[in-house]
Amino acid sequence: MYRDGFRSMTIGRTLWAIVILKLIVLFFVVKLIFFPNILQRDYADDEARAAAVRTHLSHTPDSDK
Amino acid sequence: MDNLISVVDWSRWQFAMTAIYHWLFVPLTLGLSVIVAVMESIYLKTNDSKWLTTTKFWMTLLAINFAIGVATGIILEFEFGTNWSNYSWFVGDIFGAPLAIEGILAFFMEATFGAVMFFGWNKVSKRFHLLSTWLTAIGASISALWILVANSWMQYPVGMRFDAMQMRNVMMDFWSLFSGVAVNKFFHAVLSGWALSGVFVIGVSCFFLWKRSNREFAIRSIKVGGWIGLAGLLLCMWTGDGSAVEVTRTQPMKLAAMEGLYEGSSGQSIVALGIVNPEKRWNNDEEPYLFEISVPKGLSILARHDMDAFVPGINDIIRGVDVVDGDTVNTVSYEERIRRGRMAQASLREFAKAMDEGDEITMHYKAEEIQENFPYFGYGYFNSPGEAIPPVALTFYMFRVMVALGSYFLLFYVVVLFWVYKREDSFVAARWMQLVAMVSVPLMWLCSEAGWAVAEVGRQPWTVQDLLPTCAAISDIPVSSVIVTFWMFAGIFTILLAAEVSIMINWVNKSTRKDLNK
Repeated sequence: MYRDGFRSMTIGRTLWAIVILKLIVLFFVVKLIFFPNILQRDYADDEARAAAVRTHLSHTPDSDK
Repeated sequence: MDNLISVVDWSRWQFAMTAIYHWLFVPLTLGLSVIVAVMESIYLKTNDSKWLTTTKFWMTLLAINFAIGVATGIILEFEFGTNWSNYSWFVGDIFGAPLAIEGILAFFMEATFGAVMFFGWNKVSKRFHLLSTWLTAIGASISALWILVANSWMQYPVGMRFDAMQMRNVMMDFWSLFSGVAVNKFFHAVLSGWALSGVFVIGVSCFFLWKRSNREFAIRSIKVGGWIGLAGLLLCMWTGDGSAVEVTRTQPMKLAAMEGLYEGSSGQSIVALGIVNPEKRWNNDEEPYLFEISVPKGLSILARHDMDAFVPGINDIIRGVDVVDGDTVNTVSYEERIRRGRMAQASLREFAKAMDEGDEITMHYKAEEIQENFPYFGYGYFNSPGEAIPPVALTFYMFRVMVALGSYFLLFYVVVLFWVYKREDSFVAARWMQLVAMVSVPLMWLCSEAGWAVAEVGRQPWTVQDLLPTCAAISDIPVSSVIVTFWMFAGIFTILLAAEVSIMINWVNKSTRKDLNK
């Protein structure tokens, strides 16, 4: 069904080209280069991630005065 | 601190831009899929080939929108992990569940049956094809359900408990995610998609009439699109009324901002038309409006379904005063919320210190202290109550844009349907009306986006109501990286939108030279 569907497409070829190009750009360029998961990247495990967020969220500028 | 503000502002702009572009595609999929399913149902019932031609034409426009729009929402999830990492961690246990269900259940449902719908003509039976078309439409709405449930939880966080050890909110009651806020938001958003798609179908059909092409096809389409759109709009207004009541109950500050109301009263009027005074602040004596035309008791009816009910203004809420069922209710003032939020944060610091020292007794004691003040946790980041007020002017104007255009479209649907059924020849000859219908298409998108602006700008400064403001939810990243990706997305989305509009216009133009009445 998919094979026949693709073969019989007219406007669909353009759409599929856009879809594939878009997914490549989003997942292999945008995600990998520009959008790392900051906590996954900077901390080794969940315990360290929790500690980092705890530090961020419990130390406001006033609390450090 | 300046860098932090810049990162917050740029990240908010980036998120807003991504969401605005994403929502250009979504409502058309939600509504047009239903319209196509109804058209195909008529084809199956009548076995008349002209309905098959009609179904296939609109299904092609649905395919264009689906293909261009698909995965534009995934960028929002990228932004959670990079720009809003504190937020992602803080609510990940709650927010992640609906999004995961959306990905697994609804997306695969859409993808599977969508393939049969787009490619399966003559490959499966007519009945199975129709079933696939309906399941694609239902799958799109189920997708929206999970996203809107997650969004509603941010506006009205319930059913969780904060775990200081994990430093995140842990889900305690999954079903409480389906609160009144979520149910209203779901139906309001999905039905707005029906209303939008009805206008789209009428606008495109009127283009055929303008070109003096395929009159029967255009009238057929206008009738189906018009009825579904009108039904969607009426139900959207009904759920909008429910949303107003829920906002009054759960986010009174948003309602006050929508109205630019600083001092509330019983039997509160609503501003039908007005200009907000840009100099007005919560702590000065300026007049709230430069100009206003009000409907007496309108806001009391809208907010509490009682013409004499008290509706609190921004300053009442800051003072912690409300009136419910005739009794003055002293809620918690913003000064007190700030104090208790800071107490929760101090307890969290002491909890962390006790953790480092392995002092489990103190940890237990501090965890209890955090729970006591946790409902106000986010207020601890503010220095003044004024920081907890959303942008009043933008919320005020967007609410009026939504309501004014919504009212216009009610009139539009009634006029178009009445005219088409009673005086079809006259409608076909009325070129000015066809022009109005075509111009109305982008206005419908403006109405839909304005609704989202009210919901999202009106809940500022919170990412999670009362618990986490944007200034705390943000990641520690350089502002330059957010600026770069902001412009990158602006470029990508503009290209995608231009591609969608151009492919659609080409397809419709070509179709005006075909016979769609066979």
